[in-house]
Amino acid sequence: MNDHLSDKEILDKFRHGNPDYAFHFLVLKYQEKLYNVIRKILIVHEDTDDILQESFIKIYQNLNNFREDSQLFSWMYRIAVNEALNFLRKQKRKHVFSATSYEDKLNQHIQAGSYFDGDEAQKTLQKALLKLPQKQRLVFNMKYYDNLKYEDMSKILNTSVGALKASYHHAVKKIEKHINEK
Amino acid sequence: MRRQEDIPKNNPFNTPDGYFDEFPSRLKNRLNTEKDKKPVTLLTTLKPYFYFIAFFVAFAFIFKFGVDKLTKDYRNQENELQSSVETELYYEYEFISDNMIYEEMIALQDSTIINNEINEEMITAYLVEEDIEYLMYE
Repeated sequence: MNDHLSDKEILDKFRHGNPDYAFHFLVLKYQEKLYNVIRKILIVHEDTDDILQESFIKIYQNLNNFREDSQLFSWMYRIAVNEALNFLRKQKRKHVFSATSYEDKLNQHIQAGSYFDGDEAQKTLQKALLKLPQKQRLVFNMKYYDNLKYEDMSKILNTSVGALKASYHHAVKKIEKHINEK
Repeated sequence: MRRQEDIPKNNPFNTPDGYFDEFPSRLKNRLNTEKDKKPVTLLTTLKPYFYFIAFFVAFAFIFKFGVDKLTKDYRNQENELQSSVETELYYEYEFISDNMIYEEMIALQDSTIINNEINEEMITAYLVEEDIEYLMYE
């Protein structure tokens, strides 16, 4: 029964009951969804695991400050995306003077197929996504895989709906070009 | 032409077996570790900056104090040297003016007298020696 607690019930229990108990159910409810959001950005499972933990710690520390003017999942989604992007930025900075770029490392990881179920077409799509600018990749993942509405994406990314539509359009064009070059 | 929509939309990423079963307990351990950590306050964040500023102020103070002391010592040495020279000159001056000049004057007076005596004797001896008698009678 506890697995089906609503967000409101979880928040009430966290604020006025037993926070650790309530948080446990929040983790059970959203761990897989947030893992997939982060994994699509970071590609590598081990990095995703680190950032998923970091995201949940941030969520725990700030849950009392959550204003219920947005959905709980959108708020957690934003935290996870920000944590993942910060991690990505640090990794790219570390690879500035390295012989191989961070994108090359991720490409090799996809090719090796570590914790990757997809077929060759999906590998090609993931490699094409790595060539996109950060924002376009993010928008494409949100729209294509997570089926988010542009309005929800706009709240998460603090970007106008028009700009998001343009980003998605450019991303699709670049991906199709990459796929047809193969 | 292939389109990206032709590619299946299912999530191609997977996880190690039992990952989501054990994740909550690993997260709980991590959270307990985080709770044991001292809370990050504004003071703890600014502490390194305070240390840096304190070090800088101390360094500037020591530097300024050291330089002042060195220049002061140098100035003192210079002043001491100058005053000792002045003192020596003063005493020399005192000595010359009070004693030496007086003695010199006396000595000069005496020597004039001696010189006068010698001169008369010498003149007499000279005249005798040169046999210049007529002058003696004059």
